[in-house]
Amino acid sequence: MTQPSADDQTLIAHIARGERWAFEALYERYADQALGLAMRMLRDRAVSEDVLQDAFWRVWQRAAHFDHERGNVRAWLLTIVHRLAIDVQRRNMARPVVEMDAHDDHEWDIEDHEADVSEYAVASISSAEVRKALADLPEKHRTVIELAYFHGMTHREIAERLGEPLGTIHSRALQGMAALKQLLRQRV
Amino acid sequence: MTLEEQITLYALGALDEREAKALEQHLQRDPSLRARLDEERAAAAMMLVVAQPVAPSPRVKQQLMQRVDASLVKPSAPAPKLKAAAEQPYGISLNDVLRWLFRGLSIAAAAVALVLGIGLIQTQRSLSQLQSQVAQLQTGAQQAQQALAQADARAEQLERDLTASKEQLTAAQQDVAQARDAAEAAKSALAELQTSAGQAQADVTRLQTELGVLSQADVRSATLPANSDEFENGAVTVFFAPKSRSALITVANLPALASDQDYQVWLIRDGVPLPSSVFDTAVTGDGRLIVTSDEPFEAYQSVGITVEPAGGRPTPNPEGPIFLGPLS
Repeated sequence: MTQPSADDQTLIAHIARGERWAFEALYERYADQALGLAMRMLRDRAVSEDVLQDAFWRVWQRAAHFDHERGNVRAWLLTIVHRLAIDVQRRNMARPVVEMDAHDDHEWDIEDHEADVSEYAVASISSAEVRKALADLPEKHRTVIELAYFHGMTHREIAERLGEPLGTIHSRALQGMAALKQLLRQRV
Repeated sequence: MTLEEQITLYALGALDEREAKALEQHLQRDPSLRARLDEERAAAAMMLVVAQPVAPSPRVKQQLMQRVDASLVKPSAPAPKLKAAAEQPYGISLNDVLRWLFRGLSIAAAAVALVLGIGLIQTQRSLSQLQSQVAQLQTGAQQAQQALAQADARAEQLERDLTASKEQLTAAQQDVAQARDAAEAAKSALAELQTSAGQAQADVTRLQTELGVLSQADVRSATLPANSDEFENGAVTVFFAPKSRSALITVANLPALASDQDYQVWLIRDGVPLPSSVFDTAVTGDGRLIVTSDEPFEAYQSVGITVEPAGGRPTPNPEGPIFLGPLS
């Protein structure tokens, strides 16, 4: 039984009932994008594919908890991938890691809330627009927000790596994020 | 760091653990801060879609679906119903007999079936978990096998490199040994040349000295007659200039002496023999000798030759000279 044209929310509802075909369809729809995000963050195909598998496995396990009335499935999936990739990076950097398996339901609510606030960003803006917005940023500003968001580095680690004062790092993060918020406001 | 900066860094995940915990307490108390955080998170989340899609390898989907399959608890097949019994002569069916026989046991049987059913479900769950773990272990084993194969290949390459390096080292050591031998040979040859050159230089100096004696304007010669029958075939001639302090003595046909003996020259002044040069002769018994003195040779009246112990001595052999003659 397959319904390739079913929308994301329909698929997630079927997955919540343990229907294999729906899970396979969701994988076919978003695996490439999810792996692209993991590769962008981890730079290693084998590790990224492990993250991809873990992320979809969590979707399979947690589909029943997903509020399909309000949530965006793609944003939820990508948020999980992002969180897992950050955990891998922190393990590699020997920093405290909050295992997702250790989260209680309340923390999963926070995870879902992150996905909610990400929803209108992910849903309303194309990848190309975001790439252009990032490309338009001064390189130093872009570097700071990418080191934080994609590589899981703290502001102190970024300052140490770039050899810049903490205040400079904060300023660049604020200005970089301001540009992204401007793009978001134009679209929403 | 301002709250505004903290919220931005928090949305980017750039606060350390302690700072994040502190900010979360503010967020719990202040809804306006949470709204601010939502906006920051939404802006950061745009970066989730910035990456170019990458197709995963088929292995990922295959393993994932194996985990999914293992997690699905398959319903057990319904129990087969008993077939209707054949007609019995007394109008009682086999089912009736069985029903009577087992009526008393039916409640207990149901309880047993319930326990067995629960056990079956638990077993199926355990089986699913085990299948999932087996799938994970298989994945891990495949990855470990790949890593092992890569390590083996790397080790083989290193071994080849090491062998090649050893061969190069051996060849280099042989080259060094050959170069060292060549250097030693060259050094020996140079030493021989230096020795030869030294001898040649000494010969030149000696010949120059002899020539200097012989080329003086008033050079004279005196032949010393043998003073002993044993040496009568020998010949000793002294070339000298009266005002000079050097003289040349040529000898011929002098017999070779024992190894502990030398010939010694004596310059005789006013009847007193004064010790002078000591010499040996070549196998042929011939030779030339430069004799120097403290006084010009005109101070001496005659010259004698004696046989002395090796190295000479200050007073002449009491047996007397073997050659003796005046300087006239």
